[in-house]
Amino acid sequence: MNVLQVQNLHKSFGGIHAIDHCSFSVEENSITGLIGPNGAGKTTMFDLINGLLTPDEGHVLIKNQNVTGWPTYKRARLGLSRTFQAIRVFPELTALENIVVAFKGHPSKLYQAFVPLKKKNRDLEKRAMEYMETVGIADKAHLRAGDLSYGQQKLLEIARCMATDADIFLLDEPAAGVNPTLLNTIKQLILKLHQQGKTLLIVEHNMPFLMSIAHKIIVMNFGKELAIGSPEEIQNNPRVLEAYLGKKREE
Amino acid sequence: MLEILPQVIWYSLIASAIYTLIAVGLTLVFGILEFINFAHGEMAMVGAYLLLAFLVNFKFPFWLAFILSFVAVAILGIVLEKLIFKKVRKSHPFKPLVISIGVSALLQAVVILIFGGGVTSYLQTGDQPAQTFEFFNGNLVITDHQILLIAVAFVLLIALALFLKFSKTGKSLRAVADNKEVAAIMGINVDRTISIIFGLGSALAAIGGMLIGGEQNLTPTMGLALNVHAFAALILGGVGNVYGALLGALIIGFSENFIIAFTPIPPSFREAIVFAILILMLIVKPNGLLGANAEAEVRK
Repeated sequence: MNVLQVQNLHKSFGGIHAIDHCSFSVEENSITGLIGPNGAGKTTMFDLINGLLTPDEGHVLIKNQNVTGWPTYKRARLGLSRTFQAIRVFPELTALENIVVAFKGHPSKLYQAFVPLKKKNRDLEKRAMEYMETVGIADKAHLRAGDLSYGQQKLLEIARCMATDADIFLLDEPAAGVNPTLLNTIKQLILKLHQQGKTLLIVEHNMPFLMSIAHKIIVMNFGKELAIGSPEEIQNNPRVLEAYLGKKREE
Repeated sequence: MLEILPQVIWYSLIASAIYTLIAVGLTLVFGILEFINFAHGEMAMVGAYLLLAFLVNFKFPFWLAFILSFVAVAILGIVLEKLIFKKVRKSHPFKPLVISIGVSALLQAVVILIFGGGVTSYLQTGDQPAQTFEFFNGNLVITDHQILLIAVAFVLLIALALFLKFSKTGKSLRAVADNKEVAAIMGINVDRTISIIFGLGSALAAIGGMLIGGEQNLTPTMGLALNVHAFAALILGGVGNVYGALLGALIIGFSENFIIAFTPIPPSFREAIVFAILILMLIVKPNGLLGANAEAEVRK
């Protein structure tokens, strides 16, 4: 089943077609890579999928529901979550609070917002602590998130996505700027999420990393899909090589 | 000189309590939307006049008039945000600021149309004078209304602090203040959170306005003076910080009353004193007492 579909999506900024009638789909419980040269429109695509931007044309379908035009928070409640290329934790909240904020089950009635229940809070914090342990930064739980190291913030961002109870994860360059040890931790986390039945769509420039985990690769260039296939097919596709390295001079 | 000290301290406390109630809403809105809402003081003014209408014109019992007034102002705050400020949420903060000055003028005009531009009071001729209590051989006179005022302010501020710290919405609110886009991605309804802030802030300001209405006469321009004091308080304390607003309000409330009581400076210089303190403080601590260090902000 396709859990995420992009149909003929189009978005222009001024005269520039950032996304140019692009279509692809992501199967349930798959790890799909989204690659392309800088400026190919990968992050814009993420923004369109989770509703930070509205497309000029085309549709976004999540779990077979047309969510084009839905606000971001509703898509999140449908099970869509995301990390950012430049990390965006809530710096002023503690690491633990970053997780608690992401939990579903916001008070459904307004008055509940004014009832700080001690026991409920303790349960929430216990649950949040479990996520912190999963990503291995439990000892940093009570520090200000903005004071964590780059790598810890990266892990916190992933933990926060998990806490939203999402089943579709959009990861924007999870391997960028991390050391080999942390890279391995992140890889294990991604594989673990996949084992749990989650769907992952990953934008990444680190090819060995992505090729080692992805089932399918979507290549974007100039705002549209250039090639879709298995990692092997993509690695041997002349059009992809051309997009990355430029055209070979005619002999 | 010294025998008036208890009374001056008591008046300082009352002033601080009212400034805090108004400054808190101002600072919450600034924390999230990063603009100074010049119409915020008018929420206090409208609250005070609504209470007058319900009490004097409709002859409702006090508790009912009180609840109706602050609920109505909370709704007014939410509606103003939805109709006006939401439209310019993504613009430069200068736009909502200028618009808020216009909204402030509009609300004053509406109140003048309905109640007239003159001075009014909750106390009508023939009313019983307020019950008073005397301490320190009559050097400290406290009215029952003033006790109610301090108690209400105290309870509300503690409730607000608990709400912000412990409730889910309180945490969401800080998340929205940090980053609206990410908050939405985490499933937080940003629009609703902002509505809650406007409703809460407006209701607190309305309560401040109703409380001051028991101490002073009502005028349609009273909101401006209140907003000036609240504004000074939150800049003193550090913008966007609720405890800063409380600290700033205490400093403003105490210093203006002490200066007027113990120096030859006449009471009409009240606002001038407030701004003099503000300017002095900004020279010493440009980010306010509890504000973040500018250098640390830049290095982020």
